[in-house]
Amino acid sequence: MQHEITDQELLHLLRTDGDRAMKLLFSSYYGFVCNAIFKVLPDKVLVEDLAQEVFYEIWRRKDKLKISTTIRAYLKRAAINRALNYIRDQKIKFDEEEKIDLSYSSAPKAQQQVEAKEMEQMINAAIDSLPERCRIVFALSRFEEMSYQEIADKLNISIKTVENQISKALKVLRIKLKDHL
Amino acid sequence: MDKKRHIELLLKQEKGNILSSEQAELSQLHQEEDTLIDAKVFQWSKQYSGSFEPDVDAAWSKFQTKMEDTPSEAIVKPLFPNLLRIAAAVAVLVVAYVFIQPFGKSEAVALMNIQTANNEQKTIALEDGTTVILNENSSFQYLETFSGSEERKVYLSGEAYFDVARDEQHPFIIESDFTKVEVLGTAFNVRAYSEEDFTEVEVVEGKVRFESKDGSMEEILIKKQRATLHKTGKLTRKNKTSNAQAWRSNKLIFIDQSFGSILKDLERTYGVQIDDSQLNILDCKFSLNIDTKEKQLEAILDDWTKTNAIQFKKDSAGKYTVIGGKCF
Repeated sequence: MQHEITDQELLHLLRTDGDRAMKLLFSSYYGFVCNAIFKVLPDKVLVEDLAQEVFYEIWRRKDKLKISTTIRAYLKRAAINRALNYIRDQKIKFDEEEKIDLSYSSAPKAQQQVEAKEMEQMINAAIDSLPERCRIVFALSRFEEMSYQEIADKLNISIKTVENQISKALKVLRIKLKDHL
Repeated sequence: MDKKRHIELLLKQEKGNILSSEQAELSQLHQEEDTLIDAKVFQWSKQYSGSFEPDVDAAWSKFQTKMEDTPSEAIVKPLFPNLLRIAAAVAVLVVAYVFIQPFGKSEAVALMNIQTANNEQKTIALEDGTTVILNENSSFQYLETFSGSEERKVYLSGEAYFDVARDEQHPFIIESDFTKVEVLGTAFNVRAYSEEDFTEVEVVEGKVRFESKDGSMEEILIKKQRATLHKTGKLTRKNKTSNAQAWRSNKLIFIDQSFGSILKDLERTYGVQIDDSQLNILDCKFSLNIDTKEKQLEAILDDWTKTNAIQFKKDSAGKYTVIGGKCF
């Protein structure tokens, strides 16, 4: 008989049998944490490195760990914070020009209705093709629902730069998706 | 048209706190085709489902080696203690009783405070066998005895070299203004002067955990690694030792290093300020060995006046300015 382990049980297990708890936590949430980071930083190698750090931190603090939300929400926040710290430490220059790739991922089908599934794939491809800094700022605003002020504070850049990157992202997406919408 | 305003309105609409006047303004904006497309793109982008499927098993194996590699913050308690473990626990209890009892009569443990003045160094021997060499203008606090506490905790403001006696049951922790260094037993240098905006750790032997007090940044350092954590939270790490411990060894060693970086080390070693803004040879490279006990700063700078035609002067506040120069 198997039953879904609850957050409380998992937290308790972390203190009593850390190795087993880590394995459970890892198998349940590793993919989730990777995907949370991937939305902001679409670099698979980097994503896995940062995800490892997220779990390592839990392992290291397992005896003192206090989680007031759900484990899922906690991991999501920890993941995004890792990504933000990484971005900040890279000293990425958000106000410099980036090369924009305006090539189409598939040939545009002018005036043609596309299926929702296909549309979703095209949107994914268009967003994945955004230049790095543009993508970061856009993802934080759209997927993480952070305010411009929060993004500016976290990345140590000006609100003006945040605004510029968002407009730029929309412009690139518009050009790429124009014929499908 | 105002893109910023447009996005602001779209966000309000999405959150459901848009006023009817703003809704009208938005409809007005959407008369223009590009703006309408922007709005659609904006809404659609929320559906982004980009993802990748990591190889969880491979990641777990990698993680396991990391787990084995590091001491976690506390000893893992066994879920099903067997007889042997119980016996061990009883033994620990008996031993603990014997040793703790003499101190158990709520006698206050004295807090020792050691300070050094300009040009002064002190060597401190702690009761656990750890040796601390305190550099000038530093202060170091510790409890007279570590007995009875789980950790060997000390406080440093300034610079010191630590040779920590190994005791896996009692981590040795050095707290400074905004950083924490945790070890089991190794030798390393810590520089954490309150008036500087960074803490630097350089490891001579063993493994050290270096972290910010708020836990937001951390780094595991091994032999010959050095890391600097700035107050701003920026952490840099180098796999090469520097002249960080020249204050102890009295030796500065430069191998093919830029004049600019050499001046930085001289500033630090001799505790002076050197203005290099009028210097022409910042990027010229030099290799040299300096015995800082034998040779004073002015004698060192004097060598460069002969070899590379620099000039230098010292103002009344003791600040040096180096000027000109030629690379050869």
